[in-house]
This record gives sequence, structure tokens and C-alpha cells, in this order.
Amino acid sequence: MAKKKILVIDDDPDIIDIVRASLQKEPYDIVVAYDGQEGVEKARAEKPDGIILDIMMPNKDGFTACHELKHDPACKQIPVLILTAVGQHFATTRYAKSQGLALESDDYVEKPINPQVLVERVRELLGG
Amino acid sequence: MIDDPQQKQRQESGTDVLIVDDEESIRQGCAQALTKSGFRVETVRSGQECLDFVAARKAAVVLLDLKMAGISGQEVLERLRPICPETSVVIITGYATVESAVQALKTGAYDFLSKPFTPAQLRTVVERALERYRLAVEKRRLQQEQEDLLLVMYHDLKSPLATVKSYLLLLSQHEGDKLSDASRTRLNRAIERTDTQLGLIEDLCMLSKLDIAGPNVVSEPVEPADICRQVVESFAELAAEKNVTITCSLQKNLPAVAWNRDETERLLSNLVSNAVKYNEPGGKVTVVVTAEDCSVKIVVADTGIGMSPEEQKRLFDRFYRIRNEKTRYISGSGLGLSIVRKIVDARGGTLRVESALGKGSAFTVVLPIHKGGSSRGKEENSRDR
Repeated sequence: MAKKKILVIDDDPDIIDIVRASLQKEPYDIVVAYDGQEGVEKARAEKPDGIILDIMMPNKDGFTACHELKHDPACKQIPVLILTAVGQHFATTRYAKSQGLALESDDYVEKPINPQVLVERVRELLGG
Repeated sequence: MIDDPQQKQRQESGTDVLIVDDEESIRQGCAQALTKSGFRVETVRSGQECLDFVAARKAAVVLLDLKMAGISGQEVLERLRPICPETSVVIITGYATVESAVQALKTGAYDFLSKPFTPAQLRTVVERALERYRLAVEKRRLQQEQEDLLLVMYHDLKSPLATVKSYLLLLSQHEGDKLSDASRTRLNRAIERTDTQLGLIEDLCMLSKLDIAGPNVVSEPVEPADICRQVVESFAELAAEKNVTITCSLQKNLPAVAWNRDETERLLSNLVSNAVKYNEPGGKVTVVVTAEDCSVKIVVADTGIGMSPEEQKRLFDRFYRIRNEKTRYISGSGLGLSIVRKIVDARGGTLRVESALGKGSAFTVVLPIHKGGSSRGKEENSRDR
């Protein structure tokens, strides 16, 4: 069976390193993007099986990127896990107010990353 | 999605006054008087039309008849608040019933006019209401700016530390078995210290957020029993570690309350956290939740180290922490109870402490069930008339 492909979008190379290391024993191919704009483009080109997405990034924040992906017929079925240092209440109230953007992701994991927890949540995200 | 300030401006100032009355003569009379004075006026005939109007377009001032067929003026008022909190609502009351006008003011109306009124009276009231609307919009803009700054600060303070802790957890989980016992202990200490620091950042930012915006204006139906169970559950591990038993006694059929979930969780977990941390081995923590007339009472009691009267006085000061040989190894930011106090005050509740050294402490929080106590409401209701 072909390996599943995960796109990790985060502007912090350390986080990309931690996500890679956390998932190293899992049967995934990892592709990366370093900002929201690059992330949306890569999602369209690479057609990953799942996306791990940061929120506060240059060149398009994660909520906007998520919104675009979820309204793109070619990408909307790809499950998205938000991985961010911003607590959910903080992020959603602020974005709901200023942009009318509801949280459209499939899961929300707060940093710091607990590698064991991340492995479980990514498995769930990809449907076992 | 794109913030166009000019478009926003247009939307916000599109209609100065929306007249809501089922009597045509009132609608026409008011509209004429106000249009002549240069106000941009629209009229609708019912509560439903008013709600539809403001859902699509903003109105700075709503002139609202209380006595209408269909949705009552009072209900329109209550449903307007969450949609457009800045709008100034002026009640038109035909019966000169002070009672209904007072009720309307209590639930957030800005002013009232009793029929019959002169065009001059109408203009004066509308001018003032419009000015209040402009101030409210400006205040919200400034708050938003401060909140945006706070979000950036929160993110920038937390991110590096979150990365450090992620690396430490990675080491511990992937390489922990290769370390000596002493090194593993040190690694765990490093993780604990980053946790304390992360907690301080969360608390500081939560407090700053409450300072800037008041309580989360968004109230939602919250099941206090669910939150209690969940919070108590989240402290099970810490309690077991400290050999403390937590029992939870929830009155059956507790009503759903119009609070904010996140704030309620924070309030409860700060109280339970203290009750567990400042306890003795073999000690007890009890959480009792009961419903009273229009409020819910939460008591968090412990059999812990207790506090002297002097300590109790300073308890809610920011960064105040009780320091003695028993508390030396207890970590915390000293902000937990300031946050509790802030949330309780903002929701119009009360907070009481009873404590005796060596015996334990009991914190009693009474919060009104309805959102009537929100700071915005209070502020406007206490306006001198």
C-alpha cells in the first residue's frame, strides 16, 4: 500500500523538525511549506492525505489558508489539523470578530507538541 | 474577508436612525422631523423587520416601540444586543409606563421617549444616542487594536518556550530509556519548569485580555455540571500524586446558564487547582454546586493548610503568593485568584473566602444565571439619568 502523504505548513523550521521526528515511525511521506501562501499552493499540487497547519504565519495566516482550502472543490476533502501555540479560545474569538471566519479545521492541537499525542491525533485525522 | 475600512465606515454609518413602530403616523412623523434635521432615516413596521434590517445593514440608533404586534419591543431589544452591541436603542413608550421603560433600560436600552413628544425632544435624544454610538464604535476599535497587540505578544512569548518543551518531550519519549536515572530526573525537572513558565504566560495574557475587553461578551448556554465534572477529572492525576481526594456534589437538574465556557472552566480550575496544591497528604477537596433563585452557587472547599487573616486580605492581589515552608515547592503564577475575581466581578457575581490556618479554606462563588451582569450592560445601566 502506498504511504500516506502529509503536508506540514509552519514558518518555524524547529516545529517542522519536531513534527517529522514525532511521526518518524509512522508510514507517512512528509512534505513541507513555510507560509500560508506556499501551503495552499502545495496542497493543490501535492494532493496530500492530511494537512498540519500553523495559524500565525507570514504571507497568509492559517485560518485564511484553511478557509481557502475548505472552499476549493479540489482540496476541501483533505482533513486539516491546526497546530498552533495560540490557545483555541484566543484564536477563534479574535478571528471570528475581525474576519467572520469560523474555525473550519477538523482538529485543533495546541503547542507545545506532545509527540505521542500528535501521533494519535494524526492517525485519527487520516482515519486510522 | 478583506478588511476595507472605507466599506466598513459606510456600513457603520449607512443609517443613522431606524424607526421601528407599527403605527404609520409615528413612523412618518419621526422620519419627517429627523430627515429635516439631516439624519439618514429608515423605517420598518415590526420587530421582525427590524431584526432582518440590522442583520443585513447596521443602524446607529434604533427608535423602538415597545408595544407591537408579533415580536415585542422588549424581545427585539434582547436579540439586538448580540448582533449589534454598539447600536443605541431608544424606546418609544405610549403608555408612559415607567415600569416597562425601566425594564428596557435594564436590558440595555440607552434612553426612552414617552408619547407624545415634540420634534425638538426627539432630535435631542437622537443626537445624544448617535454620539454614544460613535463613542462605542471608537472604543471597540481601540479594544480590537489592543487585543491584536496582545495576541502577537502572547504568541511571541509562548512560541519559543513551546518549541523548547516539544524538544524536551521528544527527547524524553524517544531517548528517555537511554538516559541514566539522574539525567531522566533532570530532564523531567526541565519539563516541569517550562510548564510553570507556560502557565504564567497563559495567566498573564488571560488577565490582560480581561483587562482590555472585559469578560468575553459572547455568552453561550453552559452546563455547569458538565464543566465541573470535566475540571475535577482534569485534576485527578495531580490529586492522586498528592494523595488528595476530590469529591464532587452536583445538585440534580442544574439549569443551563448563560456564561462563557472558557471563562467558567478557568474560574473552576483555578479554584480546584489551589485546593489540591495547597493541601496536605490525605486531605480532601469538595466541590458543591447548587442552584438558587436566579443564580448558581459553587463552593470549592479543602482541608489544606489554610490562611491567616493577613494572608486572606492580600489573596486577590496580582502576583501575591503565600510563602512559607509548606508552600515552598508549590508552583504557580500568583495570578490565578486575580483571574477568578475578575471573571466573577465582570459577570456580576460574588466571591467569598472562609479560611483558618491549619484547617483549610472554602471559596464560594455565586454567579447569576443570566447574562444581565455583563460589564457592558452594567456600565450603561449605571449611567446617571
